[in-house]
Amino acid sequence: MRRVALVVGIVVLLGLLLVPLALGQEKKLVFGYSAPGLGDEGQWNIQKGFVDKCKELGIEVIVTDAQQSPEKQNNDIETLIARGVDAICAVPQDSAAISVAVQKCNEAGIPFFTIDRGVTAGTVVLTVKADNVKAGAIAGEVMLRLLQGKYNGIAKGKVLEIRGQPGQDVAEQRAQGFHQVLEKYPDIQIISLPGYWNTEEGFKITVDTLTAHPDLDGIYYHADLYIPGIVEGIKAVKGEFAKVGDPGHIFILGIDGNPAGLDQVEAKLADGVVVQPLRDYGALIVPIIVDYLEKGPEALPKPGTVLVEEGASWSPAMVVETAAGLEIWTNVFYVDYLGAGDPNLWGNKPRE
Amino acid sequence: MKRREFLKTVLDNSVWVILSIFLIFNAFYTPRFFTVLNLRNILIHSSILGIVVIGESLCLLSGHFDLSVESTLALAAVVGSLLVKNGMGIFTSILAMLLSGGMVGLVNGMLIRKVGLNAFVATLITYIGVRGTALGIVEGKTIWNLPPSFCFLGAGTIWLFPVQILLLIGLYGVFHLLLITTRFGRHVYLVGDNQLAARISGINVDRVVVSVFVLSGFLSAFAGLVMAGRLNSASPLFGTGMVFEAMSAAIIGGISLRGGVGSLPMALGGVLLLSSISNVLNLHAVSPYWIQTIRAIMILFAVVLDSLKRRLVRYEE
Repeated sequence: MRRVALVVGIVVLLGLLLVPLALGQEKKLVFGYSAPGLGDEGQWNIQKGFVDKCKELGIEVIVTDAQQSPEKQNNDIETLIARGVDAICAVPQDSAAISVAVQKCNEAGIPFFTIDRGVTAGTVVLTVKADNVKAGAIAGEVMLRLLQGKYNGIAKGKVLEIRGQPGQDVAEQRAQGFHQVLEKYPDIQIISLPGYWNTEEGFKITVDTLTAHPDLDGIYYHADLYIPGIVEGIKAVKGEFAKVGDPGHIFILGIDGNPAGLDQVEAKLADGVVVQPLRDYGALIVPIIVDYLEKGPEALPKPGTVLVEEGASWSPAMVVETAAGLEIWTNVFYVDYLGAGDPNLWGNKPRE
Repeated sequence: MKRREFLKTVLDNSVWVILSIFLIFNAFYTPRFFTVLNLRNILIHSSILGIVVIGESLCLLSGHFDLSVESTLALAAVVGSLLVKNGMGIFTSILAMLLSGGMVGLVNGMLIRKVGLNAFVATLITYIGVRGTALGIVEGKTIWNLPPSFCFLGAGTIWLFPVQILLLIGLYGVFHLLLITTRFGRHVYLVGDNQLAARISGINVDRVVVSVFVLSGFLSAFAGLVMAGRLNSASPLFGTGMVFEAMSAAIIGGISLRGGVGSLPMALGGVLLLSSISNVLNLHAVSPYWIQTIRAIMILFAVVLDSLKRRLVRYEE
């Protein structure tokens, strides 16, 4: 009897202790962040930007890493749902495969956001991504200018395009923008091969294409991770690598702007890179998620508006209503070796 | 009799016969294929995969899978590059790389023989864990611009010959001799053929299996060193998906998944065939959307040709 009384006493005491805590403290927001894999600089930085902004606003974040497995990502999101988070933000590994988890999230009433890539089915409140078509088009225009510079104003030449994973939307859009610009010029031949986001594959493609086309004028890559493979591939075939500005230089440019990529541009190994504001996606989306949780759909930016913030690398960003839902397309811009050292670029910011 | 002997020779070297047919065919139909530069390219493309395949083949011959090869490669590349970038000596860094590979192999061997796990499960655990460790060490960062002496094995040349190619030939020579002339080599085949019989005949099966995995780990780490040198960089994503290519090359080369059957020169033939197929597809600049399908059809064609030949010989007998 005494023991029962003791237990009841302890429970009551604990309860009394917890009451002021519950009353005094406002409920802390908890967000789930599902990364497709944290192995590459880009994904690591997107995640870091998201987590940093959450910390700044006093939000707790649970980060999961799907290690490139669409199946694991679905499980991760289900775990986040079970954990009862207030909102989930994901970078889908596979836009179609993640849809199952998105629908479960919708059923559970947890708002779902994505960064960088959309989803095929299910409701996503908002997607923040770089304008990849524009990035490809900028790369195409720069390549066109470089070729015209080489051939006294005539648009001609041979260009190798090292793609990402065929079928993946980012790779498709980066190809689309580039082709849109250059296909208007019939004397520019584009040789497109898939590198599957793999540095060694980029090396092999460079070597093989330079062997088949020794007169190659330029190389356009879909991600910075190809640069070391391209440089070494040129060395392997030509015996030496001509840097930017040196005679015999093959134009090299692409998309990403990660730390290694910027270093390589600054070292004149590549002509330039179209930079995406990866590190700042979080700074853009986290406040929108918080507003949405407070005020509902009215808090979302209206399609057709342009978001501007002085000094932010994502600015200006366009709000677009697409078939996949509401999206914000952030700014992308080109830097060459003169601009690659700019400390404001996300790739030049310290990791911690 | 003579005819049968001829057929037997063809069967024993089927992958080389298919490779020769492939090379001759493309010499006529693929522009710039049959040039010294391009044949050199194929050998360069084959070298890293080729080194990994030696380790994988040793494991397969002893009747075990090793799924961890590609992760071991990535770990070694990251470990060595990080050390050398932080001022460690070249030899110490390389030693640390090779040791990291050996350690992974030792863990694999121990998990299989001492803990009693199935090789597939044991190496699946290290496949995940080792790449995870590589990721953790550099937090997804790519290390680049390595010292030239560190890159020598991957990108250097001796006289006119790329070191990579010399390494490929040398390593296949050494390990082939190890398998056919030494007692250890015979034990690997015996263990792979029939583990029980091997144990009864007094072979220390534990030692053979652990040694095979340690060698595989060393070789994968060595391939990591070559890859880091070749690409003048190191990333924890190096070698992603390579284990499937390594297994395919070994199997196309006629190494049995059940163990005990096959030889390294045949596995090398498998590696060269796979690399030549990729090379031809690149030279033709096949559409990025169809390249995988065409690669699969070519591999299927090679395997079917091989099985047809086997049937033919059985019919002759």
